Amino acid sequence: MDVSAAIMVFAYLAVIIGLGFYLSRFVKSEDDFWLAGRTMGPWVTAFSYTATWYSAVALVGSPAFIYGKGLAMGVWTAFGATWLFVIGPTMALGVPLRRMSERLNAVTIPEWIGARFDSRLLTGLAAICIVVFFIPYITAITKGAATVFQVFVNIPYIWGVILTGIVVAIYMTLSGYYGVCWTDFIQGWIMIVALTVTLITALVKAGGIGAAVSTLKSIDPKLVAPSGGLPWPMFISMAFVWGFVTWGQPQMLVRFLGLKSARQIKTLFVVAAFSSLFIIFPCYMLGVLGKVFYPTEFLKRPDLLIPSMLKDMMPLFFVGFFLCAVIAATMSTMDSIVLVATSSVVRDIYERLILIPKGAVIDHVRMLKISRVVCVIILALGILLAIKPPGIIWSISVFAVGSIAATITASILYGVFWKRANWQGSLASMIVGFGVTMLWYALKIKFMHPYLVGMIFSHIAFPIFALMFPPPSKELVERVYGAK
Amino acid sequence: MAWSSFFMLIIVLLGPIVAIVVSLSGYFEKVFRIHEEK
Repeated sequence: MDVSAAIMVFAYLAVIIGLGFYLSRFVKSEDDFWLAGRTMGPWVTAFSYTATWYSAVALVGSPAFIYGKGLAMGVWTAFGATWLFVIGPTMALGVPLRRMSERLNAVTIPEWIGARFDSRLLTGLAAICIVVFFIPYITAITKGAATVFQVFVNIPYIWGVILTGIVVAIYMTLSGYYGVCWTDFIQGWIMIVALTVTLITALVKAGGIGAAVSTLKSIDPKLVAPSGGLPWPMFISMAFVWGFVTWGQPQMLVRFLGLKSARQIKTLFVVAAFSSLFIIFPCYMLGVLGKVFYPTEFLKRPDLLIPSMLKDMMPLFFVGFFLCAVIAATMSTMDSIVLVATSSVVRDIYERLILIPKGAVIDHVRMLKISRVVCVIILALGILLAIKPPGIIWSISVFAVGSIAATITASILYGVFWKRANWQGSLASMIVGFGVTMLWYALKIKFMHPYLVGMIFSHIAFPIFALMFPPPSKELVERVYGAK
Repeated sequence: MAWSSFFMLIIVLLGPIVAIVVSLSGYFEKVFRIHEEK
């Protein structure tokens, strides 16, 4: 490892920590910690939206996934990711979710669900679900970061785990949502620059787009076929299936709640569409071009594709910059997950389910201190589990986000768009979504992904159970949707 | 091969293009009106 690259990485970590210290001055109460007092601008929020979703799994795992699947899969998956992941939820959910959260005074997604359906039980269930699935997700992401440190900077795995935890703990506990968004903004730009430069270099070395396509065709004509040589239904499901998972991710949806005003969603919408494309498109295209340079080398271990491309094509100092991008991708996801898990414990479970039913007065400054302590505890739990390295990062990440999506997406969609939606429908959809997903995993059925099956069944269960019970009261409907 | 490269570029850019078109179309103004504070 080049010394200049190591200096670059540690300078980057120092900047992130420094930013955390600077932004801590704005955090005066619990609401500032969770949602920056709803003062974030659309550009910062848009980058935070995309940087939160794309972790090291996107930067290293996506090219590995596309390697050998061909140009069409790369293009359509990038299109699907931008279309379904950004445009869909922002157009459909952004404004109504934000407006309702203002009317219901909700700053977290479990709190929004509980207030929408007037049920503390639902707040508790959603919060528990988030904590249970997000702690292993934190573990998987920590393992990813520690492995990157180990491979590129020769830092022993255990020290990589500790270093990642300490850096995230410092800037997060100090600055909360302010730090999460602003560091995501910087991290998003680092990812875009690193990926764009690498893609352009790879394209030049391949002799341009035309030459790259010809080489791919000479290796295997399926690599440039319109559906990648797969049957169309299989191709479409593979290219688009993950786009739906973001519709029920609390760490993404909470971005709409933190904006200064609902009108800024319009700007967020366009900026996020571009930033998402500029991150994920180079990832997939590097996977496609990998086949041009290494036709058979990485068939068994595609995860080594990106490290090898960097080593063979880029100057050593740039490897350090790309490493910063991978660490940035990791931390920008991890901080948001930790914040949402912490808010579930403190705001949703401790405040809403324990303090308020007792009639206690909420001291928001004291709650801020508790939040910071809980934040460190959750991070520590995730990191402790990472000391003994868990299984495959990709599988754990997919299990966590897929299970959460299957459990809460129906409650959000029906809660926003259907006035007749009641708490019984929401409860049924959560139980069915969670249960079916777990059952599908347990039975190891290969037909369709478990999360997608859980999503389908939860969306069917919601209206059936909702119609079996009385509609919500007129007062609740007016509180949620506004008086006529 | 040029046409297919161009076609793929359009597909990839379709997301941001749609985002700009929707943004300029007045869709959000309509949504803002529907969900205006009542």
